[in-house]
Amino acid sequence: MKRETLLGQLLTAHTLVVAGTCAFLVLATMGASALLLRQAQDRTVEATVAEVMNGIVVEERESHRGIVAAADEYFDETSLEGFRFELLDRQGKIIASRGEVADWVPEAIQIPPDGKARGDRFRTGTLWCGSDHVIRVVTLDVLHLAAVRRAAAVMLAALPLAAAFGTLLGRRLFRRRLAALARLEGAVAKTAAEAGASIDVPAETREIATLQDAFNGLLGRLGEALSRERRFTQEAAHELRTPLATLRARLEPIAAAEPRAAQALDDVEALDRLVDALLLLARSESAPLPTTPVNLCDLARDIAQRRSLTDGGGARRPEVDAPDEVLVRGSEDLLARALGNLVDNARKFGGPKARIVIRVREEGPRAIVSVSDDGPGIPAGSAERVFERFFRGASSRGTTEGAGLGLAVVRAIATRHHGTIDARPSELGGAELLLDLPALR
Amino acid sequence: MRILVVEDQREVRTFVLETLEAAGFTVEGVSTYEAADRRLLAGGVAGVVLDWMLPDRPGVKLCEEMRRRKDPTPVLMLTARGDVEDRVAGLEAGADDYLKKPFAAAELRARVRALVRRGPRLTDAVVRIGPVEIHPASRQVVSEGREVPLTTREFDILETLARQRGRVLSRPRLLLAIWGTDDEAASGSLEVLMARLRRKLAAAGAPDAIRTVRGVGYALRDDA
Repeated sequence: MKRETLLGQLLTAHTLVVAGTCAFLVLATMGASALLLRQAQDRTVEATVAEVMNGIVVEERESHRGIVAAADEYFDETSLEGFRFELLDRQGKIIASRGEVADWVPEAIQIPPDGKARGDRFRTGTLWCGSDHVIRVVTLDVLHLAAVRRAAAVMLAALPLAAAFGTLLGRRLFRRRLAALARLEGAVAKTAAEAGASIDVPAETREIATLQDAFNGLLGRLGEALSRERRFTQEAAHELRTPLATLRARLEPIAAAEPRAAQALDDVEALDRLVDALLLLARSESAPLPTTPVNLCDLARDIAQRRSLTDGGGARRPEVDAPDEVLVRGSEDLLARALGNLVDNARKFGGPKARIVIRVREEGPRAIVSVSDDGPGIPAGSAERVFERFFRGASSRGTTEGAGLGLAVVRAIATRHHGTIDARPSELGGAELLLDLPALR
Repeated sequence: MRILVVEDQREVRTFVLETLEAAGFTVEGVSTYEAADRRLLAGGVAGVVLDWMLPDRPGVKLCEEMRRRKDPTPVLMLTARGDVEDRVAGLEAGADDYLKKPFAAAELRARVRALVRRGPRLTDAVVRIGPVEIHPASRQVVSEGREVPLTTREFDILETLARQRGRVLSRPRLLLAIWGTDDEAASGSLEVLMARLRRKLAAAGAPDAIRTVRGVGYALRDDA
């Protein structure tokens, strides 16, 4: 399963936070500015309309010519950049005006009770002047001023830039901080689970230090358990093999002359194999292994040759299909045992006449050994169970010798070499067992 | 050739002694670390068959002690214990080979023969052939900081040649030193292994490290 990375998650979260914060800041600033600008404009409009009315009233009083003439006079004398002054009669018809506002089409108006009207793009202020006339001043809405619009555009354009900058900066910082985690991971991966092992990476932050302490605690307990287990298997090995060695030493000199001693010698060998298998299975799968290069092709050829000698004249020699060299890293003894067990297994179930083919090949980073036979194959449903300890097929129980440990041992060896073992029907008609190991490059 | 057998189990010791005697070796048996140590100091021993567990001290310590005082006598460790990790520990302690109990007489014979044919043990000093370095202690071959991946057998051949560098080793002698037998099957394997070893050494920058002397055998080129 492909999981998301912590870095990826942090970056996504960080990007969202940065973008959200930037957007909020920009929009809030723009909103507040718009509100303040408009309030200021409204106050100006209000003050302007009041002043215009005052001016006209003063003019009228001084000249005694009526309000229309006074307005004309006043408008002639006074102008304000960006403002248009208008005198309207009761019907809303313009009687006098001064100044231009772009795109303003003076139309009949409905005079609002509060004196202010909100146009689409304009701000207006109106005041009653006497009982028959209305004074109106009109100006472009501040939010539609080119300068204000440009400022808004600049702020909106800065939003993605700020967000991108924050995100990139965060990315670099996160990456640098998370590198400590990667270093710890690397150290953990390289540390073998054995007594006395510990991890030591420079811990700049408390989390890394805590994690490292936790790992070291775990390693300590693991190492203790492993060395206990190791002591046990070594003592058990000694206790079991010493009497076998003595027995063998007694039997071998007389085996040539005494057939029953020769049989007993075979039994000693069978017992020895069983002890080996049990000890191997008892050992932890993570126990350290020698890491010498091993040529699987040579092992396959050796085994084919040796088996053709030990299986007796009637048996068919296993065929080997292998290149000159396929290397893996590990223990030659154990890998030879695994291959031997696979061939023995095929022989046991296929009989002496069975055709057995050992194939070794390299597929990219994998080294694959397959042992196929034309025997009866593995019954459906048992494909996974054949690798269990003491498992014996129903048909073989009581008829075939062996304790049912052979394939369990192969699996233990495969696991200790970071590999796998699988069973499937073979092209020859019987079973095919596939040992898949990391190849040495 | 005198072989010292150090084993405390009387029956196993007798079996080893009789097997080796029948194979034409002069044999001598002791049962303790102390006795073995004294006997080795007296000299004249061509090889040691050493049990891992002795009543007074671990046999592997004797091996370490021998190497510490620069005694190159080859050692075959016998052990009833555990598995591959012990082999590694044994080889690291300075043993030349390792045999797991219980063992068959034929196997023992072959191993002891191979042991004494291999010649005196290399010191832990690194052997150099051009850019290629042989590290006998870790059983590794390195060229310009990169490991040359040799299998156990390939390393055995190279090491055996290095033990008697410059001298020509005959094919039967090499076969005995590595397999303990010089039969047909082993002879075929030697050809294949030698070809592969040469190819790997060539790839590592030492193309003519191993010389073939027609009709005689092989030798490791001697730069010094």
